[in-house]
Amino acid sequence: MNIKKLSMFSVLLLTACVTINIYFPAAAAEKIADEIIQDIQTLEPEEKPQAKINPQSTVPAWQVSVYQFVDQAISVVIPSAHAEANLSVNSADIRRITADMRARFGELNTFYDQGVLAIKADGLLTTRGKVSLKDRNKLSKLIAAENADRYKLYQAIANANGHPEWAKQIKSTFAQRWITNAQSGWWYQTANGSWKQK
Amino acid sequence: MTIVKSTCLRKFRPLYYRILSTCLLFIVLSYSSAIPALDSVTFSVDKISANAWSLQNAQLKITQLDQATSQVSLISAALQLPPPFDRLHKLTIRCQKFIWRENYVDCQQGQGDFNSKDLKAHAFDFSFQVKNKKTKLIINDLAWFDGKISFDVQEQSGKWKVHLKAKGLNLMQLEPFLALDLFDITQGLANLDIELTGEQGDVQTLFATVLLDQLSIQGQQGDFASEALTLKTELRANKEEKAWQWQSSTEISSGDLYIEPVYLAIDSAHVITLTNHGLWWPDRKKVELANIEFEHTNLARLQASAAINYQSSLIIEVAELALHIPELKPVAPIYLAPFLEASALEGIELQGQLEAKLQLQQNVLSEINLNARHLTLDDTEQRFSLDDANAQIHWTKQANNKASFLNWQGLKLKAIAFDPSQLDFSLFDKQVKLLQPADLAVLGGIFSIQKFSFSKAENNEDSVVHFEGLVDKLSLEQLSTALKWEPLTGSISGYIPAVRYENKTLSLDGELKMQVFDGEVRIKNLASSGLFTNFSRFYMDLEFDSLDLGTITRKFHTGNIEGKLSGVVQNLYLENWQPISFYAWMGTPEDDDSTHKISQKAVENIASIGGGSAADVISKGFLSLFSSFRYDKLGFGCYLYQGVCQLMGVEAVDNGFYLIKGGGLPRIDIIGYNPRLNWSVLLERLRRITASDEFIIE
Repeated sequence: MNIKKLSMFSVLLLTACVTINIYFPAAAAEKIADEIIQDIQTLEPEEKPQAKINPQSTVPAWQVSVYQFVDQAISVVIPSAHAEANLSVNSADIRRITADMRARFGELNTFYDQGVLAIKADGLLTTRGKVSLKDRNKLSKLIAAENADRYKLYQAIANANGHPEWAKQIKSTFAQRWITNAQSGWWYQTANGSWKQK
Repeated sequence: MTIVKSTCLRKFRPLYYRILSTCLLFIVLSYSSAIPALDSVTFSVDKISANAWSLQNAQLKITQLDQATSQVSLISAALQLPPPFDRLHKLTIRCQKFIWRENYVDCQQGQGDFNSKDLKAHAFDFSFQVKNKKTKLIINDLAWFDGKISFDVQEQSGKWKVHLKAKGLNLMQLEPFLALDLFDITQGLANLDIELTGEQGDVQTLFATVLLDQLSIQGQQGDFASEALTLKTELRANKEEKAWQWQSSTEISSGDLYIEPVYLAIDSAHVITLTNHGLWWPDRKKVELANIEFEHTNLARLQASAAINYQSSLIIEVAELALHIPELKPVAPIYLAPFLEASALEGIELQGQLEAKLQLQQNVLSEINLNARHLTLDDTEQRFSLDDANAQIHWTKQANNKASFLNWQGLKLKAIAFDPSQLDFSLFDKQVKLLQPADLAVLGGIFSIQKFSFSKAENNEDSVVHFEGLVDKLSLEQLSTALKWEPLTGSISGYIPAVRYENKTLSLDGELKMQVFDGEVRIKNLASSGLFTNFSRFYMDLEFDSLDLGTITRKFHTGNIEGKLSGVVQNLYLENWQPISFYAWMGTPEDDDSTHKISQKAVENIASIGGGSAADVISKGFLSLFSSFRYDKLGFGCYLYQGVCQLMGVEAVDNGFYLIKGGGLPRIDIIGYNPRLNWSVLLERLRRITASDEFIIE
């Protein structure tokens, strides 16, 4: 009888447990993408007030690993429930990368306006049309630096949220938002590969 | 009239035209002796081929045989030429005056024309002569590629000479025949004058003058391009036994040129010339560049010599380069700035004179000797500057005994100016070592570097740094003025036993002591990363010891407080000089026996940190009779985390904490009840200091 009660109790325990899988928060990603892009693409003569920065310490890496391990272990035997998390953009890496991108935007903006700099469908930058020989080196260096920073930014956001594997989805979200936030006159690539001017 | 049909000449070997002419002559003479009344001959060929050439459906006709000069015409349906030329159609060659006799064939006033898919229809004049084994062919005004081409070919006893002149060739039309893989031509005209001499199949001399005008090219990788370039080059080369000796000179007199990452706008005042001579051993796959001279007029001159072999891969066995720049100001934006674009050093402006000598061995830079005079360096971001500096830099790949030095009349790091001074050091490979201690006068004191060495790790960005130094009596007044802080008085001294550079972070051991406000502030565990970037970070611990509150409050006009102040700021972390996190506590020292008094204004200001207002209570109450109050101790703490300051006071009370605990008469207590405050709000209140939380007066 006791054994039967114990078995029943175990079953109840198992069925009562719910695994919460943190799915990529697409809506939150769009929101923070917009915030970051608009922050980067705001031309201001001076640095933005640091009051906007909300510092936070990151969870130690070992804790993240433990949480992930426990989550995966439970997922094996227990039905999953779905939840969507918010995204944090508070890490020194993100602030450092966005500071560089903000500083670079002034020069990029000139080339956007000239129509020789365009946003590809994947959210990365490329040259478009004939670039004067005088500007060719500057523009290619800017594009290389900006594209590298965009990759770093996506990974930094993913890392700051304890999900390094989200970098690809964050890149995909940003790809759309870079185009959405493009200013009038800028060139961008549509999903079918054609080029359009905003 | 006699018609001869033959297919005897199916195969041609080299010297086609000589064989053809001899064969024709033989046939014509044979028939002419057999038939005295012969006045014309027609010679038809179905096909003649040789290597990549072939002539189809050809008809050779000789008329006026009975006169002193005959006429010859060759009409062919098609002539196939070797690649890259294509098939010529309707080839017609006529000699208005044709003379032949033994050892003599002469074709004068020749005219030819043909059709071609790529070359289109073309006509040309020519003459041809074979005389005593000397052959001469001249083709004039061949209208190819929108220009005119002339050939003069001579041959005698196996020795030959070819002279090609071309004028106004459209390079875009010529491009398909040049088989260029590296770039595309989008515009350009060419004038050529090329003379070749040789014997049998060997070329022995080459003289060429090439003038390219309005040349626009585009590298396939985008790494080089030109627009409207005017370029003239002359090449003279002759073969000596197994080596070619050459001399060449090239002048670019106008246009734009891009060779990644350098962009050159060339005009008459800044012509580029490149001259060189040397030897080339084709069999040994070796080139000896005896002298190369590159000059950008009025800007820079580079001389070089080198030995190169390309047996398995391109190897510069040895090379020496000498660079002379009379004035860096116009040169740096052209030749230096492109390399610094989008890097931390972008925006540097240079002036001064520069001489440099470089040596390479086996593709590796082995030595640099550099002499800079009257060097001025400015950074548009105002991170650093150098004024009237002189430097002799000796760098070698291997250990180096030569000393280098850098001296200056002015040096600025950020806004901090150093007096004139000099550093003596040695350089080799990835190492720098200070040769003797340097006392740098700065901020009214001395920054003394006792020992310094730096070596870059081979496979990562970390570096090994050995440093020992001290700062002695740096003026806080000068420092605060330079950094545009509220003016401070006092000095900074300290001993720095070691410095580390790891993970892009520079860390200082030891501590810096600031004698300030009649007390002492100690800075420990100072570290920084990204110092000259858009995102500088600092880490440090601070300790305050017995600072005089009277001096501080008078300096910052916060209302007078008398007493001492000690405290700590631990784990202070700043980004772009803005505090991000720290734990701070400052308050009355335990053993402080000084007078503890606080003015009305100071009471209001301290109370205002909590968010309330004390001004009315004090000014309207009887306490307005007192200009100051006594206190036992005061204290204030903040743990900054995630943008929120967790406030602490000198002592807990009910649901709050004492910021000031009164003592004596008239006594005043200030108690805070709000333990959490947004950091930005706190900063704003500290700036305004106009409100108060709550105060209790007893």
